[in-house]
Amino acid sequence: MFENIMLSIRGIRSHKMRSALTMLGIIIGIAAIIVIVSIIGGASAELKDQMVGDSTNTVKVSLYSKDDKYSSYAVEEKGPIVGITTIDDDTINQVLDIDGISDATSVYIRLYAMDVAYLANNTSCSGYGVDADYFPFSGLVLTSGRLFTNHDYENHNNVVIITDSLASDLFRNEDPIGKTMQCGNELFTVVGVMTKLVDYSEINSITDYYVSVGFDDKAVYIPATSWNDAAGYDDIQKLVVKIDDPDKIITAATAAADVLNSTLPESTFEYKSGTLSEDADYLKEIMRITSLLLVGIASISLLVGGIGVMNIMLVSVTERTREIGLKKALGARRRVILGQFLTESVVLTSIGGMIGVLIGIGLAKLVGMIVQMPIVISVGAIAISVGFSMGVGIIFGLVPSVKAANLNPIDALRYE
Amino acid sequence: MILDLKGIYKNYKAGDLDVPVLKNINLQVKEGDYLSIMGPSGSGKSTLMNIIGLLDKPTSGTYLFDGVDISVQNDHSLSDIRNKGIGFVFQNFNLMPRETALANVELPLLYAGIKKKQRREIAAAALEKVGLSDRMKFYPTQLSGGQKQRVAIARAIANSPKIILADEPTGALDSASGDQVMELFSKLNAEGVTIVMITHEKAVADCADKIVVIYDGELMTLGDFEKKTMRRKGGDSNG
Repeated sequence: MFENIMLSIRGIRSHKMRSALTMLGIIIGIAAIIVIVSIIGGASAELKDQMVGDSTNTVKVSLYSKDDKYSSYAVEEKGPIVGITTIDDDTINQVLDIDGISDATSVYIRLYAMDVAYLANNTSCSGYGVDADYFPFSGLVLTSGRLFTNHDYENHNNVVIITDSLASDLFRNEDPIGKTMQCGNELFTVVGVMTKLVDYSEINSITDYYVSVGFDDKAVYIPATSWNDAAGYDDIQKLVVKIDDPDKIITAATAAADVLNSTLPESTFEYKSGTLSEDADYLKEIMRITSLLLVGIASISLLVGGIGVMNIMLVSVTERTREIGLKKALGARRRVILGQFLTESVVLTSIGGMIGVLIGIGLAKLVGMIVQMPIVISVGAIAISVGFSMGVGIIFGLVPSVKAANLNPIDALRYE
Repeated sequence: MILDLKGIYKNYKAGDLDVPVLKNINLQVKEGDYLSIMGPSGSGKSTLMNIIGLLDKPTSGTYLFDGVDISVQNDHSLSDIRNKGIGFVFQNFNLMPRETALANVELPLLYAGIKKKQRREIAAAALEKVGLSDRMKFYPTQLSGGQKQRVAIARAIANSPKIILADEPTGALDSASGDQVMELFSKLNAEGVTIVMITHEKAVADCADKIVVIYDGELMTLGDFEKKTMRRKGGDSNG
C-alpha cells in the first residue's frame, strides 16, 4: 500500500503540469466548501453569542408582557406589577433539575437612568442598585470615603457612592463626602467616591471589553436594599441560567421559563428566555439552507473535478497499456493493477483536497479580515472535505482502474 | 515435464471466419531443456509463445504447465503461475522506465509477496549473476541495450521460475551484445535453468540444444522444415 502511494506520488510528480490541472477542479471545490463553511460557522457562532447566550453560556429569563414579545417588561416605563412575587428557592431548585442547566440564580438588574442633583446642580446619570459583592468586580476603586457596610444594607440607609466624574460635575470643588444629594425621589448621603481601576484604552480580553463598554463615567451606586426608595419601585427579578452545552441553550432556557410561568398567577405576563432565541433559530435555519445551497454548488465543482480526474486517469491507463501488460506478464494480479490505479487516483484527489483545504483556510481568513467577521475553521469540515476528495478519487478512479485491470496482457504488451 | 502441450489449436476470429493460427501443436519440454522455436513472421510463433506464457488460452487441446492443467485455472491463479513459474524476456526489454535496475528486478518478487529486505537481496543477487552489480541504481535510460536485456534476464530469473520464455531476446541488440545475452542463456542453462527461446535467426537458434520450427501454424523438426521448404523452392525453379 505504502509502495503504491509512493509510486503514485512519483507518477504524479513526473506529470506536474497535468496533475496540477487535474487537481484544480478538486482544489477549487474543496476550497470553496471550506470558505463557505468557515464563514457561515463564524457567523452562526457570533449569532448564537449575540442572541442566545453570551460567551459564558448564560441566558436571562425575564418577564414579558404578553402583548409585547420584543422587549422584557420595563418597570420604570410601565410601572410596578402587582401580584408578581419573587423567585423562591423551590422554583430555582426545579429549574436546576432541567437537563442541561448547570446553574441558576435570581438577579435584580437594578440599573436605570436616574436624575441626580446637588444644590442647584443637576444632571442625569446611571443609577445602580448593588449588592455587597458588586464592587470587587466592577473595575472601580475607592478614591475617598468608604464602601457600603452591612449596616447600610440592613438598615436600608440612604447612602450613595458616586464616580469621580459625577462628583466634579455636581460638587465642583467641594468635597462630596458627607454631603446630601438627591437621587431620584429621595435624598442620599455621599459616603464614597470611586474611579476607574484600569484605563481601558487597551482591551486585552473579553472581560476588559465588557467592562469598558459597560462602564459609566457618571454613575451613582445605591445599596440594593435602598433601591426602592430612590427609584420608587423595585425591579422585577430575572432568572439567569447557565447552560454548558450550547446545543441545549434554547430548549433548556425555554423549560426554565415554563417552570417560572407555572408559579405565575393567571395574568397578561409571562416569563420568556432571551428574546431573540427564536429569531436566532430562524436565522440559523436560513444560514443552514444557504450553506447547503452553496456547498451544493461547490459540490458541482467537485463533480466536474472528478470527471477531470476520470478523464486523465483514462489517458494514463492508455499511456501505460504496455506497462500494465508487462506487470500482468510478471504475475501482477488483477487486484494489484486495480489497486495501483485506484491509489493513484485517490492520491491525486487527496493531495488536491489538502491543497484545497489550505487555500480555503487562507481565503476564509482573508475574507474574515476584509469584512471584519469572525470565522470558525471547523475540524469536522476539514476532515469531511479531505474524505470527500478521497471519495471522489475512488468513485471517478474506479472506471479507469477497472479498465486497466481488465486489459488483456497480450494486447497490452503489443500496444504501441 | 515442465511444458506438455497436446493437440493445441488456436483460431482467431476475422469477421465470420475462424482463421487457424496454430494447428495441432504437440510440444514437450523437460527440466533443463534449452529449446529454440524458429519460424518466419506470421508463422504463429508469437501466438504459441503467448499460449506457453499463459498470456493467451488455446481454442482447444490440453496444456499442462508443470503438471497443472491450465484450462481450468482462473485469472488469479494464472497470474500466480506466471509470477512464480515463468520468467519472461522480451525483444524490447520492457523495463519500467521510471524505476532503477534493482527496482525492475524486484517487481516480480513484489508480486510474489516477498518482504522488502529479502526482495532487495534476491534482486541484487540476480543482477550480480548477469554481471550488473555495478549498475543496480541505474535507470533504464542510462543503460545500453545489452545491459537492459541483462536486467530483463535478471528480472526473469529473480523468482527462480520453472522456465525462461525468451521472445527474440537478441532482436533489438547489436551482435556483440546479442552474443553476450546468448552466453548468459547458455550459462544459466548449464546451471539447470530451462529455457524456451523464440527467434527467427538461425545463428541464435543454434545456441539451443534443440530446435523446432513453426511454419504455417504447424510445429516440425528443423529437418522436416528444410525438406518442406526445399521441395517448394525446387518446385518453384521447376515451374
